[in-house]
Amino acid sequence: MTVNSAPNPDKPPLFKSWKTLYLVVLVCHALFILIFCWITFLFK
Amino acid sequence: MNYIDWIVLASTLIFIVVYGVWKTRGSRNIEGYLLSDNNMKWGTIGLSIMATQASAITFLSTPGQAYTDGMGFIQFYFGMPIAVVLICATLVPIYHKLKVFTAYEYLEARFDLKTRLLTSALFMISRGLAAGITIYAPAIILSTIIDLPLNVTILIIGVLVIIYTVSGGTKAVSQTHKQQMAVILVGMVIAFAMLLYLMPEQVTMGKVFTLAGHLGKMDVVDFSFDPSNRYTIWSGIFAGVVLHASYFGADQSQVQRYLGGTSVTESRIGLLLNGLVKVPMQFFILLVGVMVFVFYQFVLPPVFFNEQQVENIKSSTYAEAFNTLDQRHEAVFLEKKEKMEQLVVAIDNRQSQEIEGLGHQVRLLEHETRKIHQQVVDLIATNDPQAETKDTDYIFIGFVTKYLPHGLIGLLIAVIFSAAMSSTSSELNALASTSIVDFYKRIIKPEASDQHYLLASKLFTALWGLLAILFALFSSLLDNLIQAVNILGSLFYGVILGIFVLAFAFKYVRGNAVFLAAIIGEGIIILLWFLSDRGMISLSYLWLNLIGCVLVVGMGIVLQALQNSSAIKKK
Repeated sequence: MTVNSAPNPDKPPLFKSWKTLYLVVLVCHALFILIFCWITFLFK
Repeated sequence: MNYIDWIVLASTLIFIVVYGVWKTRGSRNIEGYLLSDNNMKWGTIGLSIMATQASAITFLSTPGQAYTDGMGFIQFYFGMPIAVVLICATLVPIYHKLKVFTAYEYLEARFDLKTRLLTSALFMISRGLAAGITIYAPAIILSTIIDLPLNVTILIIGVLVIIYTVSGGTKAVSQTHKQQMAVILVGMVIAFAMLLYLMPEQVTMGKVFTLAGHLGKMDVVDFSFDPSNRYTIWSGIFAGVVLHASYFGADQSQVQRYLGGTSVTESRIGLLLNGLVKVPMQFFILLVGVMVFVFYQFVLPPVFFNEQQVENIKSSTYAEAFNTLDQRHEAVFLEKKEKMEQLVVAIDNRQSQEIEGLGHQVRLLEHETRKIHQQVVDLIATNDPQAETKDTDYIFIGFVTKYLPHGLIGLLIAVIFSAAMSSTSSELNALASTSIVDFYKRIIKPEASDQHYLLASKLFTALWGLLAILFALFSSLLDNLIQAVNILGSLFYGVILGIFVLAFAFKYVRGNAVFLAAIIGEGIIILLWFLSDRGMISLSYLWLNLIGCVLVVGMGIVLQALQNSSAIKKK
C-alpha cells in the first residue's frame, strides 16, 4: 500500500464522505417522521 | 417482590459495580481518568451517550405518559438527529483538534477566561441540581414498589454510583454504561413480549394500534401552531434542535462521552449511531405504554396507580367517598370492556358502521374513566394537600410488579436502577471534570503533579456524589424546587448554545460582548419562565431553548457592533 492510498482516519469507513453519512442519518430520520405521520392519519 | 427478584436485582447491580471497578482499575493519570486514555471505539461511545440520556424517569414516566396522553411525546426528539449531525460537523473536530478535557476550554481559546468560567458555572448549577433529582425521582417510586425506606433507596443508588465512578472515572462510566444498556434493552424487550403474551387472544399487534387509535392514543404527530402546546412537530424540530444541540455539544455530561474517542471518526460515528436509534427506541418505549393502556381495557386497572396514596385515603375519613368512586370506576370499566370486545369483533368482521358507533361509545366511557380518576385525585388532595397526586410514573412499574412472573420483576426493577445509575454516573463524572479542569487546575492550583490532579479528580467526584445524595435526601422538603429543576435544563441550554454558536459561526464577536449577552440573555429567560410559571404568559418550556439561543446570538452581534463603533469614535 502506497502512502497516497493509505486510508484517511477521518473518513467514515463505509461511506464516501461525511456528507453522505450525515445525509443517510437525516433521510432515515425524515422517513421515521413520515411513518409517524402515516400512523397518526391511519389510526385517527 | 420475592427472593428470586431480590437475587436478580442484587446480582445485576453488584455485577455492574464490580465489573466497573475491576475493568478500570489502575488509572494512573488525569488523561486516563477523565478521557479514558482516548481509547474508546464508536460502539462504546454510542452506548455511553445513549445510557447517559436514558435516565430512570425515561423508563418510569415515558410509558405512563403514553398511557395518559398517547404517543405525542416522541416529537420532543424530532430535532435530535439534526442536532447530532450539526455537532458532528462543527464542534466534534474542534474539540479533538484542541485536545480539550471539557467543552468550556474551547471558549477560553476562542473568547476569554471569564466566558469559559461563566458557561462552566451555568453547566455546574444546572447539572449539580439535576444530579440530586436524577437519584431522588426514581428513588421515591422504587421505594414504594420494593418496600424500602426512601432514604435507603437513595443511598443504594448514590453509593453504588460513587463506588465505580470514583474508582475508574470516565472509563468506568463508559464500561458500566454498556452493561446497563444491555440490561435496559433486554428488560424492555421482555416487557414488550410479555405484554403481547398477556393480551386477550383476539387482540393482535395490529389491533393494539387500532384500539389505541380509537381512544386517541396514536396521535403521534401534532401539526398545531399553539405555543402553549408542549409537544408539536414544530416545537420538536425547531426548539428541539436547539435543546439537543446544546445537550450534545455543550453539556459536559455528554461531551465527555465522545471526547474519549480514539479519533474524530469514532466520536462522530458514536454520536450518529445515537441520532439514528434514539427516535425509534423512544417510540418503542412509548409503544410499551400504549400496550399497557390497551391491556388495561380488558383487565381492571386500579382507580389510582400509587398504591401508597390509595392505602392512605382508605384509612382516612374519605374512605367511603373513595369506595364509591372505586365502585363506579369498576362499573364503567366493565361496560367499556364489553364494548371493547364488541369493537374487536366488529374490526375482525370489517363492519365499518359498528366500528364507528362502538368507537364513539368507548371514547365516551374512557372520558368517564378520566373524570372518575380526576375525582379520586381531588379526594386525595383534599385529604392531604401535600400528597403526590400524579400517578403516571407508577403505571408501568405497577403493571410489571402485578402481572410479570418473579425473576422478570427483579430484572425490570434492575432496569430502573441501571438507568438511574447510568445517568447519575455521567453527571458526577462531568461535574468533577469541570470542577477540576475549569476551576481547580485553571485558577486555584495551576502547577501541580499529575498524581495530585488524579487524586483531586477522585475527591471532586466523591464530593459531587455526596452533594447529589444530600440534595436527594432533602428533596422531599423542596417541592417547588423540584418542579423548577425539572425544567432547569431549558433555562440554561439555550444560553449555553448561543455562546457556542457565537464562538463557532461569528468570528468577529469577542469575549466582552458574548459575556454581557449571556448574562442579559439568562436574565430574560429566567424572567420569561417566571412569567410563564405564574400564568402571566403562555409559553411551553421547550421554546425557552430557542429564545435563549437567539437572544444571546442576537445581542452578542449587536453588542460587538456597538463596541466596534465606540472604538472607532475614540480613535
